[in-house]
Amino acid sequence: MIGCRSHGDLIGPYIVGGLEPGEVEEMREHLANCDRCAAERRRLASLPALLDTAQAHDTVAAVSPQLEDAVLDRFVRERAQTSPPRRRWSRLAIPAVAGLTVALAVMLALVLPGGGDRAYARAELWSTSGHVLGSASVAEVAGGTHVHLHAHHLPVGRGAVYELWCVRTDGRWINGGSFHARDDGTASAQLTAAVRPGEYHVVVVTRPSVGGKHGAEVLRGKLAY
Amino acid sequence: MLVERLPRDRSGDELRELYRRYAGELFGFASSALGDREQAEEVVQDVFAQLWRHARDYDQRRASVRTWLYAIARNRIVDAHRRAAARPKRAEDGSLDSAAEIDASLDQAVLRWQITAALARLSPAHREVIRLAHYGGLTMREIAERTGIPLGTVKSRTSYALRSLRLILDEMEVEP
Repeated sequence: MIGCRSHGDLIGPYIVGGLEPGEVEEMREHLANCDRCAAERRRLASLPALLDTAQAHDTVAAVSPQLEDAVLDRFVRERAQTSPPRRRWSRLAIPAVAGLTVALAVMLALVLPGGGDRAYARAELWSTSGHVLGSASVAEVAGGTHVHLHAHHLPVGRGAVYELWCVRTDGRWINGGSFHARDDGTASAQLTAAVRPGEYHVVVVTRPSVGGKHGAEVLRGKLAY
Repeated sequence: MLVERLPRDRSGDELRELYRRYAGELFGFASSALGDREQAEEVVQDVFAQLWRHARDYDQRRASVRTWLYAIARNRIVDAHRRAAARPKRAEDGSLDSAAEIDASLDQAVLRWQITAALARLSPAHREVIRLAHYGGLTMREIAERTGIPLGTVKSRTSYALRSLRLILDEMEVEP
């Protein structure tokens, strides 16, 4: 129902109070006799009151791209923590398994450069002055990527906290969490980022974020798959 | 159904899809209710955390996903208001005290956000004529003089703009 042909276009102006006094009177008389226009007026009549609840210059707040990253990042972290419950081991079994694990890890470290994980890509991490100061290997885990990071000669004079980022192919930076460098400038960390294989190709280490923006870049590396 | 698949979602794809569908309006609602972008972002994060933690409890016969998410957001916003009310007040503080005040404020915030979002969906020409006529208080003749648009066009455009707005609000389930 959109009103009759002669007066249908006047219903909107009538409802918002935009007609001249003579037109208002004419419209009132018409509405008393035209069912179509009267029905249309009833349908639109509540709009001025609804419009009053907003302001003329209200805008729809846009979500920042970082929020999606933060939500997905939290999801990945929680998922990683909710692994299936472990079986109880006897007192003797625990040291035995631990010893075997260490031995196996040492063997793998000797045989496989970068460790024996399920890494699908590795990167040398370069400082802004062009020196290789670390490495990163990445492995896929549920909902994201585990990044194993080793670095040395990190400047710790202005604080020892750093952040890891995965730069997606669309240019967005996905936060992988923060880590601490040791007093001697070395660091080893295992972090999780909400990105998947193929979605990113660059890993960056920065100073801590300030005001929602990542801090100064310290290391960067391109992944070799 | 996305929410039902969420407990088995190892890739994050289902969550991403849900986020892209609902995060914008949840953020708009929270932002409007709290008047603080940072707090609104925290609310949205909490809503999605609750979503994946309790996805198994979701029953589509009881409520739509949208209604469920809004209910979670609403609870988080009420919590934020309560925290603000518990803090020592400054003279300029607008903190809300009672549950009734918070409820009324939230209803108003939802409605304000819905109207703003509906106006944003109108064409620029329709939005402009509503702005001038309703918010500017101009008559059709004054709008025609100010914009140089023929008077008859201004009148018909105003009617079309209101009809479009009503249709959008119907879609958003905003009662007349």
